[in-house]
Amino acid sequence: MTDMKTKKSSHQGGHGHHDKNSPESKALKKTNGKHPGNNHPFDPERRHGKRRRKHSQWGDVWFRLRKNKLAVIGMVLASVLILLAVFAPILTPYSQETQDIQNQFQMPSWEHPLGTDNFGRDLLTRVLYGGRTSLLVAFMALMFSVFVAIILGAIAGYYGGMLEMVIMRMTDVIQSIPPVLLAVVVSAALGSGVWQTAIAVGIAGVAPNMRLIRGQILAVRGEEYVEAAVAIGSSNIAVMFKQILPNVLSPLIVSASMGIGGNITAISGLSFIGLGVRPPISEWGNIMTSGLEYIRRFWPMAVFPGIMIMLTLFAFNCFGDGLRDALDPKLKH
Amino acid sequence: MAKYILKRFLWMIPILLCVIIVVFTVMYFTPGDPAMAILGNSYTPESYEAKVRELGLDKPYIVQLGNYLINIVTKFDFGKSYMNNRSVTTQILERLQPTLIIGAVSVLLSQLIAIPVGITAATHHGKIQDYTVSSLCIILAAIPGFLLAVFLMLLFCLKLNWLPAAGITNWYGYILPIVCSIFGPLVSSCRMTRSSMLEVIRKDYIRTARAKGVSEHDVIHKHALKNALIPVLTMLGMHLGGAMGGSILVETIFTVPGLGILMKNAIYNLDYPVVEGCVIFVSFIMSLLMLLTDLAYAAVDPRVRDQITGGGKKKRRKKAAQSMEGIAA
Repeated sequence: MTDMKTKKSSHQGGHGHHDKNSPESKALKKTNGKHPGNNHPFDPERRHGKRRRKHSQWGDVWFRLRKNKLAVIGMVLASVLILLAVFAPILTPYSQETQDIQNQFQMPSWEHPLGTDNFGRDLLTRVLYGGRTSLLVAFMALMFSVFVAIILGAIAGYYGGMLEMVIMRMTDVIQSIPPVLLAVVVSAALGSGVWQTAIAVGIAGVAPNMRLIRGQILAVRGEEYVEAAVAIGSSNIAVMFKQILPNVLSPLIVSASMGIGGNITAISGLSFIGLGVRPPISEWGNIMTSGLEYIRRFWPMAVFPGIMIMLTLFAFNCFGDGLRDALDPKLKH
Repeated sequence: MAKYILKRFLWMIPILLCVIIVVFTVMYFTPGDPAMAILGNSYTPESYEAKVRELGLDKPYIVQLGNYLINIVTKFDFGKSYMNNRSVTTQILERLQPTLIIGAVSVLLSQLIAIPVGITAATHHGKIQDYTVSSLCIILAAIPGFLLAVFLMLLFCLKLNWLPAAGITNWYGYILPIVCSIFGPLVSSCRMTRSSMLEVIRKDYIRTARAKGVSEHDVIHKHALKNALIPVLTMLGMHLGGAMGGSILVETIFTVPGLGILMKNAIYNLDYPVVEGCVIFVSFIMSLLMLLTDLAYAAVDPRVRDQITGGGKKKRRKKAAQSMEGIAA
């Protein structure tokens, strides 16, 4: 949809002030008669009104995505996990902080479906709240990396020159530090907490996303509709956001949906070694760490958060894979 | 060619210097007072002053950074640990062995498994082998190394009592850490081999080879493989860097005395020189490996070689054209 829109606006920009009696418009008027309801003589895309809209780009993507079973499974599972996280306070009668030392280390039962932890807190409640933190931080990290990547990538790809040189060399530098170590160091520097962890994890994602955006912009920049937009005097910002960005969007969406899984891994990994999000805020990684201390006599505390991490990764990976195939069917093998 | 290699090596120097600056700067602005952490209970204002001066923490940022850079560049000296006053370089070298063994063995093994499996999946595209490999990849991709480590430890060390849960007193201790680090690179290489093989198999030159009557085995292993493996092997450096970085988790779980644990403890103790040393050291190794894979390609692949020397040719041609113009004028 967006893709078509951008092309449309540039077409109109190019031919907007046509002479009404030119042969071209006459020819168009003829076909106009055959298709009642077409009031856009210069825009062949809109000629078939409703039928066209059904097959919009995103409509096609949605159609292909629905046909892919694995992607649908991933999508449903991911939505369930997100809903569980959002409605955690409603779903459980327990509070995540109330301690009950007498009932610690209970095995799963009807009252406590996943058992209780080392302070006698309901483990299911902790895991649900943990999912809240993990998913929230993962999305925040994603937002951060995409936002920074769009700005830097747009500057590098669109303006070029010295700025591009500096930005590209900086990403070279950042990318020669292994991503896990980068996240560990930044997390150590920022301290523990929700947004600190989001930034630490997000920074590692900036460089690859930025390269992606820059590459796409370089590929699109020479296209005619961009030239047309520049020719009618659109400002740089307008060209960038209205003409170029919609075309960069689909690879970016794929990279983002694939990135969620990696972010979840990184966040729980950081919390697992004591950086990232620390107790009393529950997070899958830090529940596992405290569970690891008691693993010899009580396994549920280390295992259930782990299973949740696996389910989340599975869901988002399947969805991301499906989305990639749906957005670019040519790449599908 | 020699010029290209030299150029690439020279390019590495400013990038590595920048890595040092970035890591130092991040650690410099880390909250927490190392001098306080060292003194602990024996804190008095005078001893604190003395400690700060001893560690050089009273100097401005730019001086500290300058000293740090100069020491690394001239003496390969990463400073001394705040905690035990031992040289960071020797500590890293002491701890390097287990991390390097786990990293190298797991990356090598993962490639040895991933490439044949990926080829099989690609040559049996759409058949049962392909589906098995793809679904296994999807499942394995959902299990991060540290989760696998926890589960395997629970199973093999605590329930079955087959393997030691902690430490590496003999080679048994290496088994689980290596197994846990294999799957990350395995899944990514396997997928990449499969998709790049599928892409190459559709190329015209493969059809030509088949039309000539070359056996299917030779088509795959002699004609297609060389091109299909390029993207897979380019990732080797990344994988080893990732394995060494990821060691911080696996080593924590199995208490392997490697770089990861050294770094983790250093972060807790605010022992910044050790943290900086470890990160910079691993980044050096990773950059070097990535450069070496690039150079290996330039040496083996005639297309890449042409691209490099082609630039030279173009320049020469330009010069020739200019001189021709000169003559014409």
